[in-house]
Amino acid sequence: MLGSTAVTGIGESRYYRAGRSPQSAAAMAATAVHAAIADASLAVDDVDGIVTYHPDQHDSAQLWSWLGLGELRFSAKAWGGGGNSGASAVQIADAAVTAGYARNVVVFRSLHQGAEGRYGRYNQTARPARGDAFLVPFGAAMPVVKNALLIKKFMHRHGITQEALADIALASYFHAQRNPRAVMYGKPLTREAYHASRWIAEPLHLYDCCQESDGACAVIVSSADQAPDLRQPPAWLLAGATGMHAGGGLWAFNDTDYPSGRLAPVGRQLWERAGIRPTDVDVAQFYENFTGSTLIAISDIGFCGPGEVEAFVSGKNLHFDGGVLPFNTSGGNIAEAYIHGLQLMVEAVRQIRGTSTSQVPGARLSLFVAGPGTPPSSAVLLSADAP
Amino acid sequence: MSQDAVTPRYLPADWPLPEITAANRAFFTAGRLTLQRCRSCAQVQHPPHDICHHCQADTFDYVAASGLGTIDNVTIVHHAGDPRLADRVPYNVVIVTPDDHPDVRIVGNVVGADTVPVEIGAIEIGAPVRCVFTEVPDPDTGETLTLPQWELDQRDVARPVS
Ligand SMILES: [Zn+2]
Repeated sequence: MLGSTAVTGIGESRYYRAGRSPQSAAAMAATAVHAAIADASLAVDDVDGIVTYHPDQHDSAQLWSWLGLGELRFSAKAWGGGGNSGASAVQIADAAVTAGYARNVVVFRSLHQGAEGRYGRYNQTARPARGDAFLVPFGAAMPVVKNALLIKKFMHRHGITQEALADIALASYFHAQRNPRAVMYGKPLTREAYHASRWIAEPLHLYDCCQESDGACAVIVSSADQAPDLRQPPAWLLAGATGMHAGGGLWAFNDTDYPSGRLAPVGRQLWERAGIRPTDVDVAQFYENFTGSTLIAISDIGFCGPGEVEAFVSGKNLHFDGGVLPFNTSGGNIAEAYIHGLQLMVEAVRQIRGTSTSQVPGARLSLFVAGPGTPPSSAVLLSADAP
Repeated sequence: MSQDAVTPRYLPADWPLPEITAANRAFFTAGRLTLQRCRSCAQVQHPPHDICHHCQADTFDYVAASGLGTIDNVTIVHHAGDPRLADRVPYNVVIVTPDDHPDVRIVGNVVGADTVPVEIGAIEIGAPVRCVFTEVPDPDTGETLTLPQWELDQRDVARPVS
């Protein structure tokens, strides 16, 4: 926070459509983590902490040893289901390094949806319990159904049309055409094709849904004293925030944040800690399991009111080349790959370094927002300038 | 139709049924719309749980609601996402607010409305509904479960939904 830490290394495996990776999740994790260590010009033994999120196919402690890392000094796991906690994991790494518990903490995510099951499907046989008992028996089982309800209500309440969802999808595909790593590279999308695509769950068309992917990525959060000696320009961690309103964790659409993304408290914390306003942000990566999630997040976190968000995202306002708020400049979950949103954090760092395939000229402040989805939501803010 | 009207299961017979607990038994077995009310602070909460989120007490009454409600939200699901649903799409999922407990949101399905496909569009936010029940045996205990479902209702509704 504010000068104590920076992201010093990033690493990725190749990204694939679900089921197409020839490598296991563990092998892709090894690729991404060691690429991040090399990118930072650290030695393997310099990495002494780990933060993960989402219940993983592989146990994190065991994976630490399989990855060949050294003596472990800090480990933690962020709360929540997945996409909401990518920025929270980075914030936890920041907190651990700031507190002195570790010097270089790796945050990674590796998934092989071909092996562990595609995230868009349900395919569970156990009888649903807790909050799910009030959702699944009525068909609100797949993520798209629950998100369609949230987005539908948000659109209804604030008078938002289908064109706003199209604008999010089109900006994502526009940026993916410039990113050879994106699984939708070479597959441009038109507004006509968007509207002609089949419904998945109204108001969400096919192109409103994120990719299902195999791949891994990693970032390394380091103490500020090391940053000048490392190879890459540091992406200074100005602030992180994780949160929701008091009743945000209640079940089955009875949470007090409905129909929002639980990001208003996150925004308040973030802007106050960083000492900036939303209008100061040069480029933003938003976790979008579905296009409409971004509409909710943009207004929740403070870029505009919910009634203004359709105009805010219209036309080329989200494009890297002159947009009001350049958004998901690698193509994001919609068109680059779905690595549970952590690949958006990698792209946020690239924007600080000036190495994005859709680089925002002169970007100094780079935002990563994780959520909506399961509670709580989170965000981190990076700066090219030492605080 | 009255609140104790019984309707066939909307989703396929092999689609999951809820795990029944002490807290949710009344909601899923009472045969009329039943909500959990805290004995200490008298607040109604849904879904029911082991403790009251208002005051953290853990003793409850289970109170009958009128069964009249309003559509708060609706989606039509076109993509199955599970082989058990492959022959059932498109289906609707709604959120209903009971007229006598407007702060409570109950997820369910509007039944009957999609026997004629054109009527799917009739499920609109703000539409009045009435609770009906699907009776189905608990696959583990044989106990009769009564899943609350909803029928579109012709009565006038005065309560706007934003
Ligand atoms: Zn109470």
